[in-house]
Amino acid sequence: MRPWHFAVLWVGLFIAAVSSGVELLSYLAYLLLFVGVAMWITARLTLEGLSVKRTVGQAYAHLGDRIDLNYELRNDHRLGKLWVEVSETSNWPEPLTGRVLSIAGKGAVRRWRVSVPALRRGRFHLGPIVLRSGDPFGLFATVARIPLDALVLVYPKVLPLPFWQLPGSFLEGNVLTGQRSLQSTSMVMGIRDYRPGDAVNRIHWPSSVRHRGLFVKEFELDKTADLWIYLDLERHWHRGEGEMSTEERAVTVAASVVAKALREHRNVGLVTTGVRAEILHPDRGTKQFGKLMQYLAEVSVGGSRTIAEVMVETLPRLRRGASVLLITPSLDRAWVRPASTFRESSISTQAVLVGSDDTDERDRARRHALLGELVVAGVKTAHLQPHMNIEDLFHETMNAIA
Amino acid sequence: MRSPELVLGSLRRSLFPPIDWRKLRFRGGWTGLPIYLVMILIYPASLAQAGWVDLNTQFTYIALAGAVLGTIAGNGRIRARRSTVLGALSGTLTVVVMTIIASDGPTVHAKAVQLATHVNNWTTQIFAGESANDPTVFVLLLGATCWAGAYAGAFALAREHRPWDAVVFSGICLTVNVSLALTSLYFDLILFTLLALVLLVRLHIVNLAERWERQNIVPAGEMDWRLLRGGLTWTLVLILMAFFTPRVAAADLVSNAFTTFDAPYQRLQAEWQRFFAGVSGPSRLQGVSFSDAIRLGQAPNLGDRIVFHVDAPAAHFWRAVTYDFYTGVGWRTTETDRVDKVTPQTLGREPMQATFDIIVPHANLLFGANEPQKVSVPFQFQTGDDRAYSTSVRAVNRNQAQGTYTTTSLVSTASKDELRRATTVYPAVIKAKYLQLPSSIPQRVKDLAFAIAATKATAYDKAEAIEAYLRNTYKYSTVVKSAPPGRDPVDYFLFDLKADFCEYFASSMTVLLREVGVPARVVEGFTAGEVDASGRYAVRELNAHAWVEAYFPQYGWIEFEPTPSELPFDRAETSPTDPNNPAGTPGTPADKGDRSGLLGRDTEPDPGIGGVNDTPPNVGSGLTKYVDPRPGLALLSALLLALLVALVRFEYRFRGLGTIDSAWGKTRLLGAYAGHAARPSQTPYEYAESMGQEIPDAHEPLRTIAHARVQDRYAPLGATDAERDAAAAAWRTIARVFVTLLPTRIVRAVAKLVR
Repeated sequence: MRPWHFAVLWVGLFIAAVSSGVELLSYLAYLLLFVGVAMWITARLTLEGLSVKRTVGQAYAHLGDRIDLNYELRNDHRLGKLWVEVSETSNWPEPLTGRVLSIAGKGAVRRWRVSVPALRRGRFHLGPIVLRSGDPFGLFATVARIPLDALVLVYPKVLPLPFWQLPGSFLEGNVLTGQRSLQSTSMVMGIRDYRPGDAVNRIHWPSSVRHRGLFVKEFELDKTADLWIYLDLERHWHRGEGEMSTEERAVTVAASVVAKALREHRNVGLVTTGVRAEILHPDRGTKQFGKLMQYLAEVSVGGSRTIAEVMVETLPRLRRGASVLLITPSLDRAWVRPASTFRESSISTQAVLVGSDDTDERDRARRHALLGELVVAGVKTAHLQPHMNIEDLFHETMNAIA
Repeated sequence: MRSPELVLGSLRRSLFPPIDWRKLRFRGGWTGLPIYLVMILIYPASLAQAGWVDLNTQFTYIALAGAVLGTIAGNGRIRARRSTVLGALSGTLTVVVMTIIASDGPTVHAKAVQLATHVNNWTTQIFAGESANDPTVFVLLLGATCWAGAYAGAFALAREHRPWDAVVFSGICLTVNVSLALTSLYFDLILFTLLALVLLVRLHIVNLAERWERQNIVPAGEMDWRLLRGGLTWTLVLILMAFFTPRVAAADLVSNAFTTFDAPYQRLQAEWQRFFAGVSGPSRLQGVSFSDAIRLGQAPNLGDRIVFHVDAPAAHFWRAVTYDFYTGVGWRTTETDRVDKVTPQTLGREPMQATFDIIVPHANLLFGANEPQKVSVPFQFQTGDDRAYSTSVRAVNRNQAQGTYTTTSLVSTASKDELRRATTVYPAVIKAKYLQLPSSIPQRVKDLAFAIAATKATAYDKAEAIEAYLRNTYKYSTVVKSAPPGRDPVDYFLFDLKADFCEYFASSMTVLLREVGVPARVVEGFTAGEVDASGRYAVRELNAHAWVEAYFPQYGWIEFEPTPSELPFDRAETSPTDPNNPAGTPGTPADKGDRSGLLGRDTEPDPGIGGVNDTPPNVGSGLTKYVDPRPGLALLSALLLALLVALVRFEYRFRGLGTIDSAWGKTRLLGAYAGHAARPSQTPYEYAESMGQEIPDAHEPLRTIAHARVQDRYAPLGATDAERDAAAAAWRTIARVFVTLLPTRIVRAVAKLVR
């Protein structure tokens, strides 16, 4: 029954009671009136004096991690609340766990924690917090929205990839060593002011004496080979939904490679295809890690720009000696030639071919042909089969080709 | 070719499909189910208590069956419209079958035939335009209401999840029953409302729990029980409040507006009574009641308590109601138009005033001698198309029929000769209403009427003969017996009983008079009573009585007394003004009983009240006078009290503070109430400036008070006395300005709340 139904019923009853003077009708009219008024006041007062706080345990998490949300509900009203429903409005993949509780008055506080799993990568907005209550008969409901906004980023899952090794770099005049270069050389570029955390052995004492302040030496960086990751997001070749989709597995591979390469102090850049070619230039360090992860958290399949086109377009940006990792579900042989060109340009090239369940005989034939051509072109390729663990990538590359 | 086992299995499944227990799932769960069952069974129980019909044991089972089928249909996938048809068909079947099972009879077949016969008789009587005196159809109708309430409620609950609907259907049926039954069924109603509210709480909890589960909201421990406990507390409080709150007095304005619907309502009621004349009607076992219908053979339980005192110049019968329609089992009133004025016949009548001091009120009925002409409280006549007489007089409000009032009547002084000379050409309205008799009157009653009165020349002689016959042939008895089913009660009294109480005598005389063509009606009220020490007539419940009025053109309704326990009406043989009585001497009264002095008394009207042709008090102009001011005064008092409490509380908050602190605190608080709350970051000067810009009238005093506040707090020597005085004066100015802003603020707040 809606409130206006209730009002109409009462008005009819009251008119009948007043016009007839029948006691029974008076009783019912009074009862309905008291129920209506008391419940309306109850509903209006039930959220008075309530305040709620929410703190988020961490600002980001990787797919599969848990995020802790800590809530605190405080009631400064003198009356306690029979029931208050606290829930969260968000674009989280599943409804965040809310809570219904009673709370005493005069400054009483209730605290609770909600631990939610990160089920999907992306950027998620939490809030506003919705407080809902009402009267015991369900006549009137009261809702308040507390504008407590928060942002949670869910990065792609990062897996160890023990069998994948960083591609070796072609330093000029050298052979392919397969070993990582030192981060810095012994060539001093200049000096700068000392900053807390700088090593003591970097202090340039003569300059410090001369300028009456601590100065440290800066060294020229080594020509460590850049690692470019090409992540193919063109919609044509992606299949499936959820965790086992080619999109999710490709992004997971990219994130895992980013994590491992940055851990080993390599400059990592990212190129994605799809709607348009997005290029994130190579850099190293945690800042680059955060930058790439934020990007990978939000990427999705779409568009029709093929990986072959993007490879051709971006070739001039790649330095000799750089490394490239191609991650694609594409069975189109068109990208073999640019990959071959990379190789010919002294750019170490690897490929991960992300397979899907949804394949037929024709696709299998295409895949075999593609893998064969890649072998011929000298591109080390790993086939990520549909139900294969990503950690086993590059474990038995040749077997996968077979 | 299918094997016999498969065919048999298929046949068995089609005949006895597996029961889907989910369809029996009650929405309120195991906590709500017993509450709901008791709730829907209260209505059948109240029907039995009201005693409308004797056959009432089946109502409980019908309601239960309705609830079960309504739940199944609601939980199923049948469409709402089809479910209505299903409910109607299955309800009809259930009601008929249950009624057959519950009725008396040797075999089910015999019971079914009996039921069909009763329904057929009822239908025949209705289509013949007569009153149907068989209650069987009413039994079926009550069964149908039990079914409909339970089925519709259960369906709405299961399908639409609308708990209020589940309550409202049964609640309306129960309310109608409780309001019509004279037996007090308040307990049923209170129990019903208690259970209904608890059920509403329970169903609300179920709705909430479902939503919580859907939206992944986890309730804290024992939340169900907490909510139920809170709801139960509210329920008890609200019911007690409603029960102990003073009742609403009938407001004249609304009551008069409601009279617009009186005529159609009365027509509907008349038709209803024709359809179900065989129903017992309101129980008459509790004292005296004057309802619109009576059923002969029901014994009143009359006590000795005084009903009212009458201060009158002579003894008289005090009329309450009259009945015009003989249903074959009793009488009812069909002339129920409410008018402010009637124009009674004045020939052979003189005014008489009687002042009534009511001890036991009878709804809004006003008493008076025949023929009432006006009453000293706002009143209305109940009458028919002929506005020359009334069937009863009623106060506009019930409370006006309590206490003291004076009725002025035009009492008949017509002599027997005058009445004998009265014409027998009756108005069409009178003939249509007051010669009515059902076709079920046995022939021997007609024969008896003609045997008594056929030889009499005038209507008066016929009436006198019948009156004398009844008084001399039959005996009065206080042991009341009812006629067997199917027997006409008048026939039963005249030929079998031959001794009973006044209603039988009055009914018999009326029927016999109508048989010989004299319009007549049954009257109920009180006899004169006994003169007490104060010289007034003390009328007791024991004085309740029924008598007869016969119609004489130009003379109006003339009373007759067929019951031998009372003296006949005193009437002179000739009138002093009779041209056949040149001496001008009054005739000899036939009897010198209690009412003997009436005709000989000088009954001059009280000049202070007005002559006999005065119009009755104008009800419309008296509206404002009779509007009950108490609710308004109570509301006003409550508002004033609330205001006083708010003022005291406001002052109490600043107790013990200095002048400036108090003024500053009050300014901030009142400012916040008026919609200008101070921000924590604002200094006193900033606050005063910002608010002063929005309320220019308070700008200067705000500055003054802010300056005083700053000086008081931060100046090394504090504020000066002059600054204190200025702050106090500024606060008074600010208070005046802010108070004028408060109403707007309150209206906005209320509007916001409503939104």
